[in-house]
Amino acid sequence: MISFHGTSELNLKKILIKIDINFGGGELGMGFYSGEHLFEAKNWAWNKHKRSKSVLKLEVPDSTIDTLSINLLDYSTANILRSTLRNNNQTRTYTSGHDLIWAPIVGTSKSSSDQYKWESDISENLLNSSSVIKNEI
Amino acid sequence: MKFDEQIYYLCRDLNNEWNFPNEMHINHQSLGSFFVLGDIDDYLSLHYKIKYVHNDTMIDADLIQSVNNRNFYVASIPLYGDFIFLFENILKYNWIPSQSVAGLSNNSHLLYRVKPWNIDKFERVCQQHDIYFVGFANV
Repeated sequence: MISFHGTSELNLKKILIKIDINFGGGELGMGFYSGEHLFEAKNWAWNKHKRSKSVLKLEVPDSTIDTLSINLLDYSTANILRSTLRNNNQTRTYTSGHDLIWAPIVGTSKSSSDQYKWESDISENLLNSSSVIKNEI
Repeated sequence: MKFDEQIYYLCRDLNNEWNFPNEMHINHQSLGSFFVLGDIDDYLSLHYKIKYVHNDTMIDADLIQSVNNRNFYVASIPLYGDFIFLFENILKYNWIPSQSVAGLSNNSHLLYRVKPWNIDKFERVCQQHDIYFVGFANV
């Protein structure tokens, strides 16, 4: 699985060394978020982080992904979860008890893009292991 | 250029309000969408402007309404061809800018969603040539 994370230049240097799943939050709760499209990560980095061009490319072997506990969400389920977390003020604290949430982006529209939220210690150890290729792109 | 011809890039914040990304919490991830400002008469201009980045430079591209279907608009980028966007009428969305934007009132604006259509091309051109659309986000 290849995915992308747009960020600031400073933060990219940090996460190339170590990804911390407790650091970030979003519409699906606490975790490290990546997405399937580079063009969306580039757009986010540029607009969120003062015209940053910094994007992390993550390459995780499919055989490793298959060993994870994955919480697969369709659009409707992800939208309900997003609303629940927002109403309960849990966007920076919630985890689902799985290693990875795999869901469409639901904050804006019926997107054709998927997002991945890495949320467990197993995921964190995996992303910081030598089996995952991390590059600036 | 009139600002109502601008393509905006907005995200939903923790309060479910539309905002520019630089208004969001620093560690909050919420990828946004492109929008144009609509009106209650369902009027769409024949022509808009959308910003894209190429070789570290932000450039305005013309976004022209398709002759076949008024809901589609096309940005033609020299050397790289056509990028198609679908304009969706979603009158349920309103936006009151919380930042001062030159030429834009602080009244409530109706939003029309602008979705990249041929996303395989958006992705391929980004990966191969470092071209990507960013819209206007007050950065």
